[in-house]
Amino acid sequence: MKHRTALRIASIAALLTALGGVAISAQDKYSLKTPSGVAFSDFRGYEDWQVVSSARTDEVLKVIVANKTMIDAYKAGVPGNGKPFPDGSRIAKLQWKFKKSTEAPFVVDVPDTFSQAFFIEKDSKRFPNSAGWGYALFNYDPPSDTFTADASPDDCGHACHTVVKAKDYIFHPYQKR
Amino acid sequence: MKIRIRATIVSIAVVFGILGGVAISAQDKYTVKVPGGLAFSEFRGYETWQLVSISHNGEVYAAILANPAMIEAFQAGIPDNGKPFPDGAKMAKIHWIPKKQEAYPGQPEVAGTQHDVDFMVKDSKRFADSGGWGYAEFEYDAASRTFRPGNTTDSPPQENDAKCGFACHTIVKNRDFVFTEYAHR
Repeated sequence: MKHRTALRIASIAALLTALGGVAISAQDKYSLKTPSGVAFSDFRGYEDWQVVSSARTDEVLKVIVANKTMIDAYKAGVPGNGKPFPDGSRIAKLQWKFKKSTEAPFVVDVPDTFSQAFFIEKDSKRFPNSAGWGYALFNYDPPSDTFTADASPDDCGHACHTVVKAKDYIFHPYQKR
Repeated sequence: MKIRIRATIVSIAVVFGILGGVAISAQDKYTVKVPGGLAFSEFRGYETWQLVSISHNGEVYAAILANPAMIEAFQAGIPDNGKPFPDGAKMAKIHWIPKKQEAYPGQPEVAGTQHDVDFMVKDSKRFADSGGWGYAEFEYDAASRTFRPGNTTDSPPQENDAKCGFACHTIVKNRDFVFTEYAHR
């Protein structure tokens, strides 16, 4: 009886250690920062943001989501009405590698592993040199389930987005649904 | 002076006439209903639902969204844990026709004109003979900016009985008839 109790305690202890190990090794992605100082935590909750649009290249499927401030601005006509997105606007482009669905009754590409999160935030005081927008890119490594800040200063960021200066530097319009 | 005032009044009246015309001609999509089937209004607010996943099949992009009841179920491990989605779970699949954006970095294809929106809703009592799910599909006509229920001329062809949905989804009966997995992000 005593022996069985001891065994049970040992089992529970082993289990707790194992669980503790998992908890310790799991990355807190929100502690990351880009080389230029933009924090992942600036975009906390992006997993739940509303959809702006979707896109693809030959390598990835993408979805563009935005926080409420930015979605509200889109719905008010920004940037088509010539007004800029307000400070506090945040937008994320999430990219997945894709694979053919083995179940769908037709040929369709569906997300495979997640690959990258691109973020942009508007703060006209903090980012005066790039028209108020700050850029960040975090790469995701599926085997280790970890994100890392991309080594480049801020990807192509502001340089690439200057093409759409007329749309307050934002490529994607809010797509009808 | 009098003439100018009259001209102004006429102009204002014309503007109101035009605005009124627009207001009257714009469709309220939430009044559209599959004959004998689901109503668009049962999915009110789907425009703001959270993303489950996306897909692409050459002709269309899809964004798959779900209401809070369904997102919470996904996050609780359904359907991988063997449990079914709860009654009240709703899903929307929005299809857009892709268009190439040469000016964007990497020349991606982006979502263009909307093609249709597909809905499913879990109500185990109401849809007892189709695994607890009700299905509906609404085609979008960009020229008239109106939605209409899918029919036998569409792809895939469907009758008003929504059995097209159930027939296809039976392949994934082991995942409570839901193809799409919540995409990690």
